[in-house]
Amino acid sequence: MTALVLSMPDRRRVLALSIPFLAVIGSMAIGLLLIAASGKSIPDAIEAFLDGAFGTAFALGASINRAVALSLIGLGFILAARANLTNVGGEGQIAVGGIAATAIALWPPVAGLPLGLAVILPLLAGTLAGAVWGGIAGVMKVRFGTNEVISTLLLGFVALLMVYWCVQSTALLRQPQTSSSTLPESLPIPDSTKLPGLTNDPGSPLHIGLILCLLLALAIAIVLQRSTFGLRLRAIGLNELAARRAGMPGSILLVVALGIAGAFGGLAGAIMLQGEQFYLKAGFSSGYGFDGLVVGLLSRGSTIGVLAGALFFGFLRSGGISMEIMAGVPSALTVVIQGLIVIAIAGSVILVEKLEGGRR
Amino acid sequence: MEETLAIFIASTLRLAMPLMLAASGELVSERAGVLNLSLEGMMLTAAFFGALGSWATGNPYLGVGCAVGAALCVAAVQAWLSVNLRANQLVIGIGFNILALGATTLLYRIIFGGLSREEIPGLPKLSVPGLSDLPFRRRRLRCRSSAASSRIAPCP
Amino acid sequence: MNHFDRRLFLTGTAGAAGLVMLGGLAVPARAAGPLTVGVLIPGSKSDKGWMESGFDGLQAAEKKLGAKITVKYIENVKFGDMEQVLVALAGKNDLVIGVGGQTQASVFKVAPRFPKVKFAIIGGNADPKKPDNVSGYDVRQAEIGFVAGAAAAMLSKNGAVSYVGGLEIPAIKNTGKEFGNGARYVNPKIKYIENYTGDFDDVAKAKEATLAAIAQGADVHYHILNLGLRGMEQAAREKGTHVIGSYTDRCGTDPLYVAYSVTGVGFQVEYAIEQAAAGTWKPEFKPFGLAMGPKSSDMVICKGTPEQKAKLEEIKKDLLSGKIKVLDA
Repeated sequence: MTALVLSMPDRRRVLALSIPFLAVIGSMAIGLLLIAASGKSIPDAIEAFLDGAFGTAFALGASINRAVALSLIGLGFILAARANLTNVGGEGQIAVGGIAATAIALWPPVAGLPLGLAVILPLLAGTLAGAVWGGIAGVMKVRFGTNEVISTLLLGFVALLMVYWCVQSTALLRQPQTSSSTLPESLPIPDSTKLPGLTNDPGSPLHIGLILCLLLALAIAIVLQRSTFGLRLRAIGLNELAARRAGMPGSILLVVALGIAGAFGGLAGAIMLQGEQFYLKAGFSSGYGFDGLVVGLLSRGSTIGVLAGALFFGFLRSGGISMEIMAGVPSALTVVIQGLIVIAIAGSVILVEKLEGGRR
Repeated sequence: MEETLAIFIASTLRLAMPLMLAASGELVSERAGVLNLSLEGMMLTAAFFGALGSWATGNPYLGVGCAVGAALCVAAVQAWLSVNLRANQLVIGIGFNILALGATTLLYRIIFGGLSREEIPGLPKLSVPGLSDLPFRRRRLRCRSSAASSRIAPCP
Repeated sequence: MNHFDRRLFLTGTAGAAGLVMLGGLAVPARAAGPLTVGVLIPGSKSDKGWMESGFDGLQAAEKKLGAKITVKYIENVKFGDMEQVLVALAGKNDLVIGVGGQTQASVFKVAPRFPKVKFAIIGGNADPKKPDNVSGYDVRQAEIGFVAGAAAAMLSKNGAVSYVGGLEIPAIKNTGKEFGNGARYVNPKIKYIENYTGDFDDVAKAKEATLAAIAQGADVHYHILNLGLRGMEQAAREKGTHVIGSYTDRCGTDPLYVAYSVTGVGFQVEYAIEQAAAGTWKPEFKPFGLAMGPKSSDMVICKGTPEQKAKLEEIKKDLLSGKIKVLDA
C-alpha cells in the first residue's frame, strides 16, 4: 500500500487530495452567494461563522463534543459497512442508549459507587442497550432476511417514541409530578454520574468523551485492518456465500457487526446525556444520529475520515448557529448550505477515483 | 360504532393516498436497482412548487403539473449524480432531503412572506358513482402535495 | 475498496476543516449603548401559533423601543444545540429570552454562568431551582381555555364542541381539560370531544382529528396547534363548522373564525424587553393570564351579542376573584 502511494505521481496526488476540499469550498462559496443574495453582509457572516465555531472556549468545546457523538455513530457505521451492512438506525440507538443511561444513573445505589463506577455503569448500560437495538436488526436479517436499512430505520422510530413514552409516564422515567405543570422530563442525573470535564476551565464543556472516542477510533482502526475479525467482516461483506463456504460463522458475524454498530450509537446517546444534557426529554437525540450517518457514509470506510468528517460537521453546526444569531442569516439557508456540502462531497468522489488512475 | 368505523376507514384512505403514490414511485426505482432515499425531499419540493403553481395560476391542475415537473428536475439531478457520477445513493438521497427542507422553507419565506394566510386553490372532490352513495362516502382523489408539506396545505 | 484513495480523500476533507479554522479566534467585545436582547425561538417563527406569537411580540418591542434596543434571534433550535445557543446569546446580550417551557432546563443550567445577564422564560413554571437572574412568566393557557370553552358552548348550535391539542404536555392537556370545564359551566349537557395529535405541526392529523369530532356533532373547535391549525381550518371549511383562534385577536379577517382567545406569548416577550429597557426588570416568577390585562389574556367573540359579552365578563371576573378555580399551565 505504501509503495503505491509513493509510485503515484505527486501532482495527481495533490489534485486528488484537493477535490473534497474544493467541493466544500465550492458549496460554501455558493452559500456565501446565497447569503449575499438574501441581503446580508458576507464579511459579517464569515466573522460570525468563525466566532461561533472557534471564537470561545465554550464554542470550541461544544463543537468537539458534538463531533464526539457524530464520530461514534460514524465508527459504528463503518464497522458494519465492512460486512456490507448499512446501519441507518443511529438516531434510535442514541435514543435507547440515553434511556438506559438515564435509568441507571437515576437508580439510587449507582450515584454513590466508588472508583468512577457511577459514571461507567450508565455508559455501559447505554452501550448495551444500543447493542441490543442493533442486534435485533441483525437477528432479523439472518433469521428472516429483513433488509437492515429498513429494520434499523424503523427500529429508530420505535426508539424515539419510547423516549417520549418514558418521559410521559411517572412509572417510567418522568420526574415526580409535583404540580399539574411538571414538564415531561426525567429528573436531572446526579453529579457523580456526569462525565468529568477535560479541563479545569468551568467555561468549557469539553469532557472525557473525547478521549474515549479517540481510543475507540484507534481500536476500530486496528480491528478493521489488523484483526481476523476485521478480515472476516470484509470477507462476509465481499461475498457472503464464499465466506460461509470457507467456514466462517456468517450469521453470528452479521449480528455481532450490527450489534457493535448499535453499541456505538448507544454509547453516543449515553455520552450526550451524561456529558451535556443531564435530563432525558423527548427529542434529545437532536438528529445527531442522521448527521453521524452522513459522516460514516462520506468517510468511505476510514476511521480518520470519520473523525475528520465529524469535526467538520460539528463545527459547521456551531458556525451555522452563530451565523443565524450574529449575522441574521436565515436558519433555512444554513440547512441549504449543509445539503449542498453533502451532495458536493459525495458527487466529487468519482473525480478522486479517476485521478487515482481509473483503478475501479 | 358504525359512524366511528366509517370515519376511521375514510381517514385511513385519505392519509394513505400520498404514501401509496410515493411508494409506487419508489417501487419503480427499486426495480431498477436504485435506492431513492430522497422521497421525502422530492415530496417537499413537489408540494412547494405545486402550491406555488396552483397559487400563481389559480388552476390546481397546472399546480400538479408544476409539482411533477419540479420533482422530475430533482430526480434528474439525483440520477446524474448517483448513476453517471456513481456517487453513493444513500448520501445523495440524504443530501437532497436536507437541501429540499432548507430550500422550500427559504423560498416559502421569501415568496409567501412567512406570515401568509393565503389559501391555495385545491383539486375538486371526486365522487365515484355507486361508491359515493354508500354511507362511507369520501373523496378518493387527493392532491398529492397536501399531506406532504406541512408548510402549505393546498387542498382546502 | 482500497485504503489509499480513501486516505487521500479524507485528508482533503480534514484539510478543508483546518483551513476554515485558521481565520478564527476573534475576540468579541460587548457594545455599550442600547440594550441588547437575544431571543431563542425553539420552533419556527412562522408557525401560526406559539412561536409566531412570540416573534410578533419581539417585533412589536423593536418598533416601540426603536434605537433603545438591538435584537438578535434564532429559531428552530434542537435540544442538543440549545445550551450552546444560550451561551452564544448570553455572551453577547444583556437580556436573553427563551420562548417556551422547553427552554427552561437549559436556561437554568446556563444562567448561573452569566450572573450579569438577565434571563426570561416565556411559559416557565414556578420552580424552586430557579437561579437568581432568571424570571419565569406563566402564560396561564388553561385559564383562558376555560373562557374559550364557555364561549364555544355559547356559539355551538349542535351542543357539541371539540379541542385538538398537539403534544400531550401538561400545559396543553390542562388547557383541554379546562376548555371542557368551561363549556360545561355554560351548558352542563354539552358534548365535549378532545384529541391530541402528538405534534403541533402535523396538518394531516389535525385535519383528521377535527373531521372525527365533526362527525360526532362538534361545530365549534378550539385548539393549541401551530402549523397543524391549517388542517383544522380545512376540515372546518369543508364541513361548514367554525374555529376559535388561540393566540391573537384577528376578528374580521376570516369568517371561519367566530372567536379568538388572546394568549399573550408576544406580550410577555414585549414585557420582558420593556422592563429591562426601563431598568425595572427583576427576577421573579410571574403568572400572567387575565390578571395582567386584555393584552396578556382575553377572549373575544367576533359578532358577540351583549348578553354573550356580559357572560364572558362575568366568568373572567369569577376567575380573577378565585370563585372559579382552574389548573395551572
